[in-house]
Amino acid sequence: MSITTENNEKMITLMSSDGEEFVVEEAVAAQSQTIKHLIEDGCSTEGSIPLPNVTGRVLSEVIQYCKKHSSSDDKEEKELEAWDAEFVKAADDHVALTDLMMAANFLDIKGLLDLVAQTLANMITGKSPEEVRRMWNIKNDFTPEEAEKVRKENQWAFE
Amino acid sequence: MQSGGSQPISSPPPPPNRQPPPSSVSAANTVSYNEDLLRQILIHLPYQSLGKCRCVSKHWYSFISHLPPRIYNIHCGLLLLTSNPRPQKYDRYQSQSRQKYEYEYVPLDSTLGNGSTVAAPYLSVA
Repeated sequence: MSITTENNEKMITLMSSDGEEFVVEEAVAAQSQTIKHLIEDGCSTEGSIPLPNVTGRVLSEVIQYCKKHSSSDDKEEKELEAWDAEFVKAADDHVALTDLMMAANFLDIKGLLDLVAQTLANMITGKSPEEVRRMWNIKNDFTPEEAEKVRKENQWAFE
Repeated sequence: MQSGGSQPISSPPPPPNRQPPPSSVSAANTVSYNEDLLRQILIHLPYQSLGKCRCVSKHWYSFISHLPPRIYNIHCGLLLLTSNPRPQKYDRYQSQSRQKYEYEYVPLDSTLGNGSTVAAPYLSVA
């Protein structure tokens, strides 16, 4: 559904995978290159734009980010950095951040993707391979012999 | 294009502290196998952490070993220009980078010992 507010700002309706609808200004929604292209292609003229890969919980966070970044200008760069830091802190854990990253990737929001990737990288830094496996539920598929060989090859990283 | 769906436009925003759906765990699992996302995360890692991450699984070992050429700015004092051992898989990167870089590492800290162990996986490009 495309509607216009009293201030003449065009509004866009986004629908999450679980059926929640969010009405946002077009300028906010267009922070996402994916949505921007959908709008340009006329997909927003009737009904809402369905986002089948993003749940309502994640979409509300993404919209929060896009609102902040569409309303800030360059002068507020430092304030924006501090806001970003709080924003990823509020995402709480790596599972929530991973959801956010997948949404940012699908919606093509480069700033958010970089922000979350950097945060996840900070979480990995200093962790042992076993801790990284636990973090993302990754199976250790090395045989004992291979594990020993790989460990020896990368011993420098553990010193 | 899908029409409005069963809910009215004015449906309320989600409550702020709702628990994540159970699918989130599998989503976290998915990211470790999604090479686009994995690459996005790994490029932010210091080199030493990349070494540890190579020990995580076969997929991660192979993936990290085949990252395209880049300069790692390493905390431990190594400046390393890495190369991709199988450049034919990354023609885009190859064309941009092969002419530009010498495929060698420059140990800046002799206390680190045998640097060739560090760089070996990245040095097989002719």
